[in-house]
Amino acid sequence: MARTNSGKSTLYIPILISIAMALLLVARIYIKGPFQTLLNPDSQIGWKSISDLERDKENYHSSLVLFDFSADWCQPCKRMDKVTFQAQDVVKKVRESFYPVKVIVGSEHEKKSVTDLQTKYSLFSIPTFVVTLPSGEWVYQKRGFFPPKDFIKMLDNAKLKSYFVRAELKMAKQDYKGALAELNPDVVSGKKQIEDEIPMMVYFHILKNLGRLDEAKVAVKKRFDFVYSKKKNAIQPGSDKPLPWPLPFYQYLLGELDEDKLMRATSAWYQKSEINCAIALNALENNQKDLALKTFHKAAESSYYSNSDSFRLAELYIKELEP
Amino acid sequence: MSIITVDNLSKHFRRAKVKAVQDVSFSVEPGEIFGLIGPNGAGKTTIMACLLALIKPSSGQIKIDGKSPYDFEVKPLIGFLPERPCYNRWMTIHQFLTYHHMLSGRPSQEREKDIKEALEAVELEVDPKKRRVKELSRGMLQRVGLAQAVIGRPRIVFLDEPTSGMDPLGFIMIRKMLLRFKEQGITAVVNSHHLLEVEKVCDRIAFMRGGKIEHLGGMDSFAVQGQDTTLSWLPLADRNADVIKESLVSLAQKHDCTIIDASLDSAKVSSPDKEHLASFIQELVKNEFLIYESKSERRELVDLFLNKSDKADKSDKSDKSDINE
Amino acid sequence: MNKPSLLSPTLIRFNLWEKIRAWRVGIPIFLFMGLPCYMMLISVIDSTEPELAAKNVWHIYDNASIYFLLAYLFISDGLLTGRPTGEPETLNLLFTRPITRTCYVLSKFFCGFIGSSVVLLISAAMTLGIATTLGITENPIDSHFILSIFLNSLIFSSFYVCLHAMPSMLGLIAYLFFSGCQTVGDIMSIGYSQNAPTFFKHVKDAILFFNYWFGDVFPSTVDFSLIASSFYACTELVVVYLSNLSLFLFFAIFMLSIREFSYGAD
Repeated sequence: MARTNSGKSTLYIPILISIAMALLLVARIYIKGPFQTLLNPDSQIGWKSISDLERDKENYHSSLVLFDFSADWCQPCKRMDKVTFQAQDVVKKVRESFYPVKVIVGSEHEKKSVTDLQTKYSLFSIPTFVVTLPSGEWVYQKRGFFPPKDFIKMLDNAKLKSYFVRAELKMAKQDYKGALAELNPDVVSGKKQIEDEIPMMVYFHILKNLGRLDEAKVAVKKRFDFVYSKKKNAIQPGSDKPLPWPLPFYQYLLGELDEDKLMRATSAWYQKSEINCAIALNALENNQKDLALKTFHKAAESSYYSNSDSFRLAELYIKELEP
Repeated sequence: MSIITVDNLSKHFRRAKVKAVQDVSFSVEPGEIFGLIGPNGAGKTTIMACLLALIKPSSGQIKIDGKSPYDFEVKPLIGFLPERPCYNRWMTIHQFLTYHHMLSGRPSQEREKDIKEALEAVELEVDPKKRRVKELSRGMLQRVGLAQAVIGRPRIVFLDEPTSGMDPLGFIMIRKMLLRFKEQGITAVVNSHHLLEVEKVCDRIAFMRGGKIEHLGGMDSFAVQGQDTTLSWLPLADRNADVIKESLVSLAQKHDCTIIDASLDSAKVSSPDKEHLASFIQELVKNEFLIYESKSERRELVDLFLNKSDKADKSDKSDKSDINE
Repeated sequence: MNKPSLLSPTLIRFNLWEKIRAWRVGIPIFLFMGLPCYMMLISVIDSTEPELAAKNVWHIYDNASIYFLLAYLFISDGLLTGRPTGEPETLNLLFTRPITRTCYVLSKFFCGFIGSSVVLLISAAMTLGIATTLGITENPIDSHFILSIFLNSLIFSSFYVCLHAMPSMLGLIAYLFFSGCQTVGDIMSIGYSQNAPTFFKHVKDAILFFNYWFGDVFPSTVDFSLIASSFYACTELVVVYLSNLSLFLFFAIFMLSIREFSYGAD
């Protein structure tokens, strides 16, 4: 370093920088090496294992299960542990309404159950967070690193969606009153719009079966108008082309579109699956049980991944309808 | 006191087998124009880079104005014209000169005046605010480089191959510039293998070959080493050409001179130095040669340079590898 | 007589002002400034959920390549000269001038930092204006957002200065090595094997070792709200950040000092 500097009086800068560099390098190695566990105490969330989940199954009917698929070598997972799961808001939220299960992918411990879960929820990347009902119905799934704020938002979304999944379970057993009771009061009172297609359809059919068709149509129409106003620019006036997705789906619920036209409105496989579900539910209400079962099978097949709303709904009905 | 002193300077590059510079010592007096000459790969550029603190010598010592070339206070004293035009090509000429004027730490109120003077000195007749450096021809680039070298009003100027890419007018300009340095008392170190301008203006020259200084001295010390003289005399009626030639050759041998060419009334003689030539002429006069004219053709430095290089080539073949590598 | 200074006004003037005046750098910089505004405009107009679309647009400001490119624009002469490496040979001449190598590194670093943070702050202000005009009330601009821009500009400028100070080949190798170490981590998290043979598991372990120790040398954008969120996060992120910063500046000065500018040879 002697000839690092042509100038005498700026020599202190590189000297300071090298001292700082050396000290910080040592600190960094310590933090990443020996001190790693010291600085990373067990999370206050209190993660459970898969066997705990099996054991406690009877006791947590009211809460949801939050699976955290992670691995020893996965950096974003570690970051989640160090940052997100240390945040007090997150800890509070998880402990309030979730049963947290940590699944270590690739470890020898509980290998079989881990593989089963991976297959069940079509996992192909970690970290992934899966929210399910205690009975195992898939509710919500996200992957990647989430800062505390986003993670809390994600948990809220999962919770909102779980109301519909519970309603779906009751609806499949034709307990429409019970299904309505499961729904979020904000949705029932119309304060909150239902954003996804399948929940909207579930809501529509519950009301329809309770003899409140007009009310149901108002809710769908409201959503239709909202989406339409947003997509106005994409619609060419006077053309024969179907409206952009998901408008045809709502049109079908409102009875403005027949099945053929609905099928032709989209080519994406996940939307086809939703269409099949809608057609099957309609068939079921018209007492065409066989057709309904066939269409539900189609819906389940056209859903490529097992983690989608339409797949879950189709599976649920197939279980009910199959002799 | 010498303004530049170099003591036992050596430099070897890791990848090259031979030393680029071996035990070179010399000093430059203030106000002197010092020439470094020699064939390619002689180590001239390496010495220059060491003087400019661009590369670190392996051993030896350099003092510029009594300080190390790495010393911050040396930098404002020097101006440098690099061999290859390594200039910021995206700048306009004006921007480029402003850049170096600012870098050299000159007061900003004198900037426009300095730039104008420098451009006048290098006789560059283009609009400096419109032309970019990358649009210039090799010769113009060299002029811009020269302007850059003098823009900081340096006390020592290092010129590496100042004439490369220049037209004859450029040669004259450089000679004028070097003479102006002499007037202003600016020291200049000129590194060249093109010798026309060096010959005329350098006070002293170091001839380099294979990383060593083979000869160091004023122009005279080079010239006397090899001198051709054409002697003419009134025709001698009583002798024929063969006889004349015979007697010339035998006389020349006595005085260590060589007859290159001889005719009835004139001869071209090559002599090792002045003394031998003088005694040879004296001998001729004694032998009734009526000499009326002696025209000394001082050999061009270039010829000398070639001879020396040839000689060195024959004697020292191991130095052939490219030292600059 | 001149005193050696830490920042050279000449270098700052020519790397910031004169560069922006040249259209080759000025235009990309103005494009960078305007791009988020344009994105905001088109994505909000043509969206069913404008709030969400707006939120996505704001993520441009934690994109690492934006910072890297801005640091490149302000530190290197690459675009001006039409050569990706810029003009390393001009350093010969520069260092015969009264300027220390420390001063050179710090000046370039300063230009990169000031240049990219000012460009991004102006751009964020413009985007905010567009968003507000379009009726988006929610925006992420707070002290954390602004601080994050400053922190990211700092780390990416120091990183680019370090690459810039190295001989171009070595710089390229360093860049590829560290960015490679970072990328393998992302790749490894996509696929995983349950029943791979031992040999492949060892290879994976080796790759993960490099990813663990060298993956965070290549800077990624930091989010100040993350640093502020917990003590544990803070300790590690801050130490890694500061350690990177000092490492880059040290290597920049060190590499420049041991480099020999034998201008006679290539």
